Amino acid sequence: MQHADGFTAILMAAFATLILAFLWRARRGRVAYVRPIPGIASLEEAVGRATELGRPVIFVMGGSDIRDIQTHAALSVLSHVARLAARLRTPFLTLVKVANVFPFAEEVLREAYKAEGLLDQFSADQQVRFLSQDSIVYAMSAGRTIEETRAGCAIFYGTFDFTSLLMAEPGAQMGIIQIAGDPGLAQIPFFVCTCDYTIIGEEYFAAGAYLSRDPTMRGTLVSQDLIKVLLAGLVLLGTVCAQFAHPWAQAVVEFFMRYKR
Amino acid sequence: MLSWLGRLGRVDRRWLYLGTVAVLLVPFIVTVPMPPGRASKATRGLYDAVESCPPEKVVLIDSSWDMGSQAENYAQLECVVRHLCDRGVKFVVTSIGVTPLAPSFAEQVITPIAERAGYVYGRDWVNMGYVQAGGGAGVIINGMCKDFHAVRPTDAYGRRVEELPLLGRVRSIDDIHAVYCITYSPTPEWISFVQGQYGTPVAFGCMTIMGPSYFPYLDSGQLCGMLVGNRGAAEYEELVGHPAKGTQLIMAASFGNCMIILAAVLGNLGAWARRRRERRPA
Amino acid sequence: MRRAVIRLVTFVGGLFFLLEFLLPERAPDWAGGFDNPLTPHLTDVTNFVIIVGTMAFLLGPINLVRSHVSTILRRRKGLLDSAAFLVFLVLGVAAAIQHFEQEASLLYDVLFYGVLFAFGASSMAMLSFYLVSAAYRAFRMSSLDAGVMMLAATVVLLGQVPVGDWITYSLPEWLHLKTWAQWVMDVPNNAVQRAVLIGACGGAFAAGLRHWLGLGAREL
Repeated sequence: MQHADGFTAILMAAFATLILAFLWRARRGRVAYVRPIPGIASLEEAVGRATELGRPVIFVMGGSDIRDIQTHAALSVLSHVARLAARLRTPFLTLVKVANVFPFAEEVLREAYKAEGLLDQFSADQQVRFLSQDSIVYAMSAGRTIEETRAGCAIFYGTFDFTSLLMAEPGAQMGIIQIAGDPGLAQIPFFVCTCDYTIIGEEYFAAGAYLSRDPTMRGTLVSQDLIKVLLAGLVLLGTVCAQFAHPWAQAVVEFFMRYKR
Repeated sequence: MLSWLGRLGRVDRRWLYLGTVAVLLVPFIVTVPMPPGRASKATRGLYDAVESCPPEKVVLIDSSWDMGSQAENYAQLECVVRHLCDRGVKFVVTSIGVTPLAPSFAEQVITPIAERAGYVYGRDWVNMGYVQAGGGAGVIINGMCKDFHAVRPTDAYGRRVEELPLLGRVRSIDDIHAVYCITYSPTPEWISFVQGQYGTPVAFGCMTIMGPSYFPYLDSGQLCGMLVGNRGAAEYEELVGHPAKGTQLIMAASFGNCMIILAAVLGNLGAWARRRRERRPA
Repeated sequence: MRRAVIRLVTFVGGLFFLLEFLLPERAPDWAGGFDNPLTPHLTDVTNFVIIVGTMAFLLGPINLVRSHVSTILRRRKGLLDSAAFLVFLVLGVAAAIQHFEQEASLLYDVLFYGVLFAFGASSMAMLSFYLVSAAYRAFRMSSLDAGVMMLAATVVLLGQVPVGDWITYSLPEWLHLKTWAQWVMDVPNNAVQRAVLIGACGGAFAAGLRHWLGLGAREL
């Protein structure tokens, strides 16, 4: 679709209203409870484990472009994990696949170290490495880096392709703690086999807000759930109405179809 | 007995790798017949789309794969191109994003088949070459649907579209009967910009591990057909009556899958035996 | 100040794309019937984004070269690997230039068809070994859920290949492994794919809105 039809525009407005409403509520101090998400909560545990072992933390970014929201979500998580590693004085290394993400990853890491007052400890050349834009070369290099540096933990965060098993298996064979986050489902089976925790679907996008511990950001997480409820309700309504030849049921279906071009 | 079973849980992985090599080599040494089977709905959908192509239209093939997914995409391209040539359907090949090596791989597959079928380059088929999908594949796809020549002014060899007779009658999506996208993970933008806007049938050829992601599109009718891995290629070869690479490789995949199941069984047996031994009183 | 500028540019850029998408291609007659004023500029803005992104294209290779040269000069571990990388980088550039100028280039054929292709195919072949070792290590039937998952995995693995056809060949069609594998793909798999996609899209929308409004870009 090149331009939004009426139904899409109404849905987008409804979603945006929900998100902003919960943001406003949270700003006024009414923050809903957000359950602990094991995969996201384990990020701190993983960095702590690497610190105890005295080995580096490796953060492997995915293959999406800087224009994709998945990359920004990954940079949010990178920022939190990097700050934690800096605070604990744990060596930290970021591997980047896409060239135009590289300067952003470097900037995020620099800001993280600066926020901890440890800018002198940061070395861009050593801590942010561009490997390759080729999937196979990137996966093999990432796996080799994890082996060579004897990483204490590995975090895979981004959109990964069929080479995910190539990069995650070496760490699994070493027995290190590994956490993977991917918004899609295609590579999750491989990550489940090789990683201790996996973050999928909407949890991937929620991680940045969850880790920030900012109540207003967490407030928007509740709106994500309500968006899902709204969409599920529409699917259910459409399914039920489509089963019946009753005029009212058909009228509901036609009402929604009228706005679709 | 339990101690022997427990040892199954501690097999050095190099033995597993050796077993995998041995098992995968079997179908290349011994001819293993494939049982006759019905093609799946997904494979048949693409077959029917090619069969129903009228003579005045062409099929657009987006072949965007390289050595990484060659094991599955090669056969998927080969069987469909053979079918197109057998039916005398003209086709245009392009490669949008993914890998700049794609056109050369497509040439390797298409050229021998086209020559055997008496196809003449420029008149019966054209390779438009690789185009960088900098702003997203959707921008390129959308542009091709509206004005093919404006978005793709030259072919893979630098020849202008005016010099190629086939492209004289391919100006927009109206001249394309169906789109077949073969890569390890086809982009759903083909569905949004082609099938969704113009109703032109779109089919995918993807790796086996990506197949489950596209079944929802097949179920909703947004994809007319799909070849999933070597199985899809083997089924298609059976439909056209020409067993080739897909049929050969699916046998290797069969044995490979059995090896995976065997490894899981061994691991579970070993873990079960170890748990039983630990629970036994000393 | 810097953060404010970043947020302003992000907001204005996002606003352009949002309005271009929300406004119709042509306004209805009662609203004046004019064309979408932003659509003619969409190609130019997209090209601008591509050009800016392309400027970053060289940063990656420059970082690679600096990292490996530093390893060589400081005689760190991996010195030989870094030297090999630099040698092949130079050879690769030479091969590409030679191939561009003359179609037949032995160096190009050796490097790309002989080395890169073979390396790529071999690396992909390693996936099969890793799959077997991952199955051996991780596929554990430690609970009812895991047992059901293993059963579904076995049905799908065998149903996708001729071995499954052989096993159930003499049975009625509804008992064929292929039929059950197709059912797993068509029913539970589709349901889960759609559910996760809906959730992920909602999450992406919320994340996008947060970043557009400058709430999620504190690290930049």
